Amino acid sequence: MAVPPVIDLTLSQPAQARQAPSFHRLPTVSASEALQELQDGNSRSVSTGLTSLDRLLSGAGGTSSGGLERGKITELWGPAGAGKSAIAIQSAVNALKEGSTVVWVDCATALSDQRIQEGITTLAPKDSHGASNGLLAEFKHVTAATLSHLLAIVLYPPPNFMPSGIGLLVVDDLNVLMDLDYPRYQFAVSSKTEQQKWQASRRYAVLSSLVSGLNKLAVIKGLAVVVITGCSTRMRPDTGLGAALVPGIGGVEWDGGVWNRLVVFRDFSGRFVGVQKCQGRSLISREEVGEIGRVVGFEVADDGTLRERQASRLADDAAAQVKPRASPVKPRKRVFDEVADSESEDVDEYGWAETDEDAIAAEGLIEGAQAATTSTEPG
Amino acid sequence: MSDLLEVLPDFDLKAYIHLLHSLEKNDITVADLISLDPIEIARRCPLPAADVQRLVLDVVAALQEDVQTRADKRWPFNSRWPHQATISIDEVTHTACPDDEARVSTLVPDIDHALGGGLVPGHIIEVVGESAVGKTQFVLGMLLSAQLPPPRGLGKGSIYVSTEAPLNTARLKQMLISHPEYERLDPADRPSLDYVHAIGTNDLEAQEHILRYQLPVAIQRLNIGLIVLDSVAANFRAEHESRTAAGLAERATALGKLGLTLRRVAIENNAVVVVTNQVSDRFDEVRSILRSSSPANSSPSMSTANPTSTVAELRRETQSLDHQQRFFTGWGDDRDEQRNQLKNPALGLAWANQISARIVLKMESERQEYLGGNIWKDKKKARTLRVVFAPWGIVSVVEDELHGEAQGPPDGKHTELLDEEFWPTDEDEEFP
Repeated sequence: MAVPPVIDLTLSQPAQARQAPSFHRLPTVSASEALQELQDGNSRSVSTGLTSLDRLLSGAGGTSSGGLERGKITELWGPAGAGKSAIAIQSAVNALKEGSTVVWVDCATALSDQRIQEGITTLAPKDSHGASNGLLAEFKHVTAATLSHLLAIVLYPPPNFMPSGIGLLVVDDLNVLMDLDYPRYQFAVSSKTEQQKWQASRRYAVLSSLVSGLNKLAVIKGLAVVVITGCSTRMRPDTGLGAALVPGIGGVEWDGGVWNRLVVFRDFSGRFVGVQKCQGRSLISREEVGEIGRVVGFEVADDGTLRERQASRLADDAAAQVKPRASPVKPRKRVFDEVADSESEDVDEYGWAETDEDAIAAEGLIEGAQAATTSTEPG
Repeated sequence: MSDLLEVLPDFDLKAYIHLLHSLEKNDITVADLISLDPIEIARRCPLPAADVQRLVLDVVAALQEDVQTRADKRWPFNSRWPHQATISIDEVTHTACPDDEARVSTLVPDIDHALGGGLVPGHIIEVVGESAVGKTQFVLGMLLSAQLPPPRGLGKGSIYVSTEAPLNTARLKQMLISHPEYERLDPADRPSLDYVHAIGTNDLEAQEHILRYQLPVAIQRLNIGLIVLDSVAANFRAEHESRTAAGLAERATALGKLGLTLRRVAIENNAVVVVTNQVSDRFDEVRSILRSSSPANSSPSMSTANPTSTVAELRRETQSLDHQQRFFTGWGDDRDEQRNQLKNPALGLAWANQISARIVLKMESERQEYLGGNIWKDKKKARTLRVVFAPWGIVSVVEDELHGEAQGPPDGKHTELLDEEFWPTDEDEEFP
């Protein structure tokens, strides 16, 4: 029996409800229709173009069809030039090939139209020129000039913003837009007023609203969402390793709302994409900053198509690489039990107890003198 | 709400003036306005909820309209919403894709090929390299090539914004006279110095003012297609501190704003923005794992030197900044490169996130030729040009070796722009 996707209704904003009631009506499907859909083999996901990656994304259970699942958010992050846009373009072309519409939202760097065209002409069926152009018409390209623009179309989607046949929504370079309005470290770390504390917390609150809005769009319209972000750095003082690259967008709510997370990076042997989170479960622990998860090697051809490389060379390369070694872990400056507690001090440092024996004998004569001789005699 | 003017310059605020003061006092930005529950906003700054509600809806509608208009302007063949008009195939085929149009050629054939024809309007491209490697030389060539008719150029003028040395007009004139690209054109079609404009800025405040207010006006008035900012790091290094965390955060915010300004200029005027950047040395630390540390000190994860933990650490290391920056800075992804020659582009990841493409100029270290006896002769330094990343095409590494010696007639690979006569000499007032 088909299991309908779990829908998150926790965030309901009254303003939205008043504005467009039709937006909140979930598409109701009868059981027989759902079964029919399942039997028809309607694709529930968009392929990334790399079969191993699709398979990794379907998770251990193999319940879903793998790839970029509809109704869910996939995050693609990595340094510049790693190949994030290449994967997103490939997925967009695959979605177009299936007959869905694609909406691409540029947040900073504009997508090159040429790359999309190249992708379509290479992967689309080689019929007439008109067919490729027809596919191109299904690719809607939009720019969000500021974060407010992006929020306006995600939190309050205009009617008909996404036509019914939509399969994929891509948001490109989100971290640049976020950092402009809500920089990560706004104020000096030390004293913050109440107002400043509220402002500092706004970044994560807005990210939380954004991820809820994207999830809602994904579920209601039945589309897959891909968010591309760049990196920032985080120090790793505990392990003695240097700074590591981390996604430019973070926070508990954002991480919780993302269904898959892929890291795209380069190495001496080529490009890799690692699966850090899939099927809603994180494959790496939170503390292991810099861990990359299962990897798939790939390369990008001149015309933009992706090809898999025999992956997992990463481990083999380990021997060939210059071995990075961590700097020495600094021992704690103060060990807990070093702080002298005179109550339990065993050693009489100054030998006072010996010289004061006469004084002790006379102590009883002094009123109120506490006979709490805390230091025991040296053994 | 003070950023409303920037986000929506045409928004009509007449009906909401009574709300503005309170919103401003509580630091509610436009993004806050949209993402927060209006009831909460109304509670936080005491305001009538219904008015806030109406303001929110109006702002949202205006933003959506703005997005639609920009999309229509840039991609006229896009299907429009809300009317789901079906586009006829003829309409689509007749509309030229904007990318088929002009690009700015760099006049270095291999780099042009790596870039797919040249620099694309609407993007920020960074040219980075050590001092005296020839960055200014390289961008000076573009000031002229932008004037060529499409597809080699944009057929428009160019602006040179300098932060260090003023525009070297003597060199430009030399280039115009002797470059083979221009020699074969009629004098009437050749680029001219009349269409190259220059302005100097010595501090960050003046720079910001010029880029935000004066540049858009100049572009419109003078029909400009290329803007060069040489260099971006100079003013930042002078005025922003980079040693404390707070200083870095402040600099990152300023760089973000600069990136936004330049991007807006590039997109709204369909111009190419080229920025040069300086470098700093990269210190690849030799770090050592303290395996023999006393049991009291070592944490469990590092205590045993078994192979699996080494591999795990190496996997973690692939994400370390030191390792990854080999692949997006332009230095370090060749294993033969010597460690003491590695450089980092200035201004860090905060600036790298703002640019669309990066071109790196590298210089080999000095070599000397033994001529016999006690005589060593300095070998001419070889310079290489490379595209590190670019959004309009995945670039397999293309290196163009620039030979210092004059080559005589160009052999198709190396243009005479790179002739040694044109390299900066000591007489030039280049920033050392």
